[in-house]
Amino acid sequence: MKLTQLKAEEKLTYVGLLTEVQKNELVGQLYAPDSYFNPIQDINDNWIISVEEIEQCVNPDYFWVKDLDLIPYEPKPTPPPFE
Amino acid sequence: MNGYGNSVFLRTAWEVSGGVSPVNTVAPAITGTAQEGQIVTCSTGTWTGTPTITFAYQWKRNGSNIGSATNSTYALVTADVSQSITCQVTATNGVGSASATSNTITPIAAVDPDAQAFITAAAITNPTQKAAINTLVVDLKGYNVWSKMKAIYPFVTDKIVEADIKSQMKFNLKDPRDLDVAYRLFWNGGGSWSANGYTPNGINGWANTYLVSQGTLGLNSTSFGVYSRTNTNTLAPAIGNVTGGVTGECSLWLNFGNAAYLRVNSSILSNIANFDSRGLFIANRVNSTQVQLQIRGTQTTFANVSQNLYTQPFQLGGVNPNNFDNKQLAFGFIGDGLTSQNMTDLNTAVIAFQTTLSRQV
Repeated sequence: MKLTQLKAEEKLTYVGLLTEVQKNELVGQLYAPDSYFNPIQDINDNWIISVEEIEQCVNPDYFWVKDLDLIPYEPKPTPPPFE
Repeated sequence: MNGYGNSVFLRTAWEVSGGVSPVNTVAPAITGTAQEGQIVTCSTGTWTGTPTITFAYQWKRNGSNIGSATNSTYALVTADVSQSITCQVTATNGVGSASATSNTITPIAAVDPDAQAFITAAAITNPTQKAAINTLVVDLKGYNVWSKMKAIYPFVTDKIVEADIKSQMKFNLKDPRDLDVAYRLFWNGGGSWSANGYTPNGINGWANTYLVSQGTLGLNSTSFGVYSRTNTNTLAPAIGNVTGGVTGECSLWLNFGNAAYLRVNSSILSNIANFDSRGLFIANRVNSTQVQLQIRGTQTTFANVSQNLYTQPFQLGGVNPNNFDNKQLAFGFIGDGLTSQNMTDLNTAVIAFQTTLSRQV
């Protein structure tokens, strides 16, 4: 699925799928003023970013994120808060 | 006859027979900033009548004369705030006199310089929001809490476009001129920003203060907290030094399985079961062995063991490292040295602030 096909109610259930190279390119970079990309890993260790980052990206260097494949978001299991 | 060859008697007779009493055609008007401490000016308005008219002024508060306020200018005082202020102009000539009343102004309170600095930096123009910020600062100073705050994030906006809201919400009320960039928020990942606050998306969003507790806050006096507008059951800290995982020594977890977990440079986990996570939560290290958690004004004391403060920055909607909070945050703070009374007063001030903004819970 692509961003243009996404319904509004699916924004928090889908995420953009990144390759390892793409993840490295986004870490520490601004997608909008004062706003940084934050790639994380899902339950399958896929690198992902949120739909909001994709939609709100106004940095022309990273417009390619708007063409990322979207996959359902599956979070990692929750660890205990303190160990 | 006088020295100029005119008859005093005849002149008076002319005034009586040919003069016209003053008649107001355009009402007097008050100009200037209607704010405590400002000087406002009353115009005479426009009058007809002969011979020459002279004017007198009387300033009024809610229709009653203000003593000694009889010049064309008037310095607004505290008693004028939120009251109806008018100016009555009395026009007099040799024939008679008449009065006219100006428009009404309703002065607002003087803006605290720290509040004004924030309002200017964040470019807030909404009068209600400006007043709310000012009252918050005045209240915190009155409660002797202001000086104990290291960072305050009020999450106020009068913008519509989300990108503009983000730019407004990044400002720290304690350091709005950005003298120390470490105190300004940076947004990471996704979220939503509205007049009701900042909501991390629960997937990968959080706000970074870049404020590191170690070297900034007291080992046994660190305090921090958030005002949450939602009761979302989440698995991540609402605020804390938590970058990189669960080893953070300062963190506050709201509604983690219906419990509040906190640690403030302590090695022992503290929790309270079964609560609603909405409202102001404060975690406060009060001495070398105790941490207090305040939930909406109610305090509980826990015994803990001191450790060093953490070397990572404080985050709002923190990360653990793969779980993210999604509570709607409408206030956040980081402080040092709060007393129990300070915590209670802070709760009162924050509730008043949220009520003014119509976002209390």
